[in-house]
Amino acid sequence: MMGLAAGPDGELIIADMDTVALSNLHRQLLYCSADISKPKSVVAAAAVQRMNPDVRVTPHQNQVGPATEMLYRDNFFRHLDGVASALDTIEARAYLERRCLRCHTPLLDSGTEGTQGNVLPMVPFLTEPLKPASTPRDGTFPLCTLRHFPRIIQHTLQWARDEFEGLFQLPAEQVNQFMEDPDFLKQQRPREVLEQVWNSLRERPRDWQDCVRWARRRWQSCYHDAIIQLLHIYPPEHETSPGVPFWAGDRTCPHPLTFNPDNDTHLDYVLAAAHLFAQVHRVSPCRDRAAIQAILRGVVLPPFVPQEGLQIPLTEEPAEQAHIPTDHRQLRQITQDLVQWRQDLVGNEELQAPLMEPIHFEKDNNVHIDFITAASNLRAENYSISPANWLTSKRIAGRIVPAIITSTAAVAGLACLEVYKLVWGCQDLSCYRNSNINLSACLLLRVQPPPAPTYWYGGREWSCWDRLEMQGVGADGQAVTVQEVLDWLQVSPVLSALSQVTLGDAGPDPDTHLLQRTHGWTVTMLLCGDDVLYDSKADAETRAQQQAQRLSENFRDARKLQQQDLELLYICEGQDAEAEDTGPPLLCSLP
Amino acid sequence: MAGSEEEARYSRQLYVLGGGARRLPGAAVLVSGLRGTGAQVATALVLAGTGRVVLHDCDAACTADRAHQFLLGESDLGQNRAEASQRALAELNPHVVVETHSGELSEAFLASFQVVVLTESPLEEQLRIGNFCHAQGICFIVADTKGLAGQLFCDFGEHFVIDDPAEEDPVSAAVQHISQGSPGVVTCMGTEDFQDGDLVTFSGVQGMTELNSQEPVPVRVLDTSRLEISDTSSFSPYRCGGLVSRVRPEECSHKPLCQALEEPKIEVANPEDKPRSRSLHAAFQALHAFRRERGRLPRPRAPAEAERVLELARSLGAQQGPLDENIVRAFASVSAGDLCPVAAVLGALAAQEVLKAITRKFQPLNQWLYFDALECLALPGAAELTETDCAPVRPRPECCCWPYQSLLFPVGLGP
Repeated sequence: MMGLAAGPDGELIIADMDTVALSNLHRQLLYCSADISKPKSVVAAAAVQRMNPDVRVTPHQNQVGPATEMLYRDNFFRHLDGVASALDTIEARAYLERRCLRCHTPLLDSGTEGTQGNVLPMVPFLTEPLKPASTPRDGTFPLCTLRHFPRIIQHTLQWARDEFEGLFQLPAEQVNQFMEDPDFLKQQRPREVLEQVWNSLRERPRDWQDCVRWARRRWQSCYHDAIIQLLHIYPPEHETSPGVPFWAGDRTCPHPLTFNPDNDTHLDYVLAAAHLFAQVHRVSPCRDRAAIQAILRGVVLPPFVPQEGLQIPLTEEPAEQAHIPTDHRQLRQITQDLVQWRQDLVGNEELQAPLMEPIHFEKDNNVHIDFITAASNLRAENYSISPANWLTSKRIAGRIVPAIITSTAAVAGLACLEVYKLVWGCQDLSCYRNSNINLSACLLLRVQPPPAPTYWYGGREWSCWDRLEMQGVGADGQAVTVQEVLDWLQVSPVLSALSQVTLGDAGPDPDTHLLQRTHGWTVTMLLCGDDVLYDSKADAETRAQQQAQRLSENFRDARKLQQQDLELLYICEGQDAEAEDTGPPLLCSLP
Repeated sequence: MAGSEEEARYSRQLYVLGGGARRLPGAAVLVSGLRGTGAQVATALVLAGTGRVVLHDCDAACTADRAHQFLLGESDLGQNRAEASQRALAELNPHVVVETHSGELSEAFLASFQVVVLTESPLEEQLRIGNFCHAQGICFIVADTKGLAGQLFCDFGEHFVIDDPAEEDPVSAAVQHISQGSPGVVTCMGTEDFQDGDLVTFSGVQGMTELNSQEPVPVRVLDTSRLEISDTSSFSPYRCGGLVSRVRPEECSHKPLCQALEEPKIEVANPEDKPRSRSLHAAFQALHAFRRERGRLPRPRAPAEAERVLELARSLGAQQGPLDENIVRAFASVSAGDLCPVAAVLGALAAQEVLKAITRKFQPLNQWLYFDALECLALPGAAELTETDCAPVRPRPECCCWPYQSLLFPVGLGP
């Protein structure tokens, strides 16, 4: 619409590795239902082309991130007039910001959440770098809260998510690994893994009825047996110390549930769990609730006897259930069974490989959400927590960010207004705007962005954007050595600035210069990220090694080896003065 | 709704709009004026699933429209703008009915709508239609973009009930039992958050499922675990489950346009911006007066015409406080232009107000809002443009997208 990139030297690059989904359609106008499952960047590019045939647009189906650094090297960023980002993870945003900061590429960051949104321009030498976005609201919960002492529905929902993985994804992956790898048993495996594989194979269903019965047993185990077990260790009247009840404050005393096939939630659980279990084992599921109820009525389970001697940790110690002594005889039996079963299964030609199909949780899959909702609400009932409906369960378990076309469109418009300023190379901070909207409260706030922060180093004021630049190529065409970098730094403006400060008004006198080199400041440490390239405090041999090394060799982080430009930090110390904080970084361009 | 096709499509939006979203499929909205702003409003409403959206425009699409109205294609030039836009909109959402109307806006026609949005109407039409809607209880919105500034006005009538003013999840308690009786008694896990007269809705109740789809009902708090609700004797017996949630509606009262013009209530994010908004309020009215005088909008970058708008603004004298003359001149000098990003922002804001009118969620705008991006005029090169620089150039087909932008910026947007 604006005619951006419509000229002969223009280019608009759209990068997204995702495909169009039904749930995307309500908030944008570049794709429609016919485009579902097609790559977003490709469809978007085509739509842009239709709106303005003059625009030169190129779709990329890549995620711009550490994995694609070879594709999007520093030169790529340096040639861009700007980057507009609308990313949905903090990590992706932080990465892009680092690249733009380094390559001095203007960045327009925009985001929305529900009816709120913002646009933040980052302009080299003018604005401050973007602040990291605030951490997401649902962090991880402590393990023992999730396992034994939930208090709110978010705990039971996370528990249900973990159950999902633990029932329908991980066991299937492990069994497949076991079946495919003949050396599986020879490697040291934790006892739990072997037991898990053994259980999974033992429980393999023959038909749908088996799946239903399996689900019923799971129900009993989670909502009845486990609670009885917990109450056996910590009965309702248990006291931590005389007069101090255990079940108080943060801990709500649970009660076991009794299965009732006429209870919709109980039936929802069985239906969803059996369905997913059947999928894992490639058995055809059935949705007939009445038929399932009939099967359930015929299930008789043995009464549960709580185990003695089990311990339940009350704090987050990692060494949790290691207290049950290993029954070596049982372990040998398990191993023998596994060997035998694998032989039988491999010999069975009717079975297709892989043996089981792991299911990955998808928030837009209704059966997955059916399971999560039922599993979570049943546990909530155990602990007298208010249940959540299907939609809320989906939102929390799926970590869904609410979104709507209005805030999305408004933010896009506000971002485009900043594009005008970037295109005209505006160097006046007062023209740019940080925008904040909240459409639910009719709020639209646009303010001048804060200026780029400065700091003092070596008696001079530097911008957070400043850096020293050095061609890291020696006369022989190879990458420079560490010693050459040190030499370069020693005569750089930074060090002479430091020296001038300590020596007072020494003035531009050749003798003074020599004085600076021998009595002034020196570089005591050279770093590249976490790698120490040079340390003046190391012994003579190490130092010699360090100084001789070329910048293109030997980094712990293999990615650094491929980088064109290395960002180096240095620490300087004066003979009579303390080490200064770090100055502007040194960007070293390699051949 | 759980697991349905609508849920799959509108899932992310349902978390924003809440239960009120159920009113969208049955709503009918009129969008008059299908230039940049109207197109943005209509697009948002169609994507969000408004049941019936009617587009009104009496003019034909021209080349210049294509720079800011993304629904129009090359082949639509010369056709009625509403009809041309209808085709692109209908494709965006198969669940929504998009119709067109190119005749006049008679009272009989207007009466069938729940919300009316005017984007290109002169002041006289705004007043006529505004008064009618106010009297009929039809929500009335003006969304007007001129150059680098936009004006938004809402009139939802004297008694508009907001079901859900807040953004967070409502307060609720787990239901343990509901009796069949007159009155019915709900036993739940703690009634501390409820008061006599509160309105509640139910969800997830098994057995007595009639309660799940009811509109909010009042309760009386009997004790720490029981609430009294209306007659449940004819409902199916309660089995188990369910959540009872409190709904706290509010009422708001708006003045009609004719009154709201004189003593405008203007929403600003920052009190320091009030003078700027008031100046824009006067400027927009002055622009209407200028148009009545000359039959057109001010020529771009023509200082004499901008002065005339300023004179008119001064003479209207309705605003409280001093007039920011620079703002008024700047606004006037580019008011004939159309910029897609500005239309996008104002169109989106207007669409959200339409959604508020239908879903009754969130506080409606009380009652004016002004948005501007006049800081763009300080860009290098832009400030020095003269009237001759901006004289309308016969647009070549291959650069159809930039002529109106050239009124604000030097021609040649790239690289």
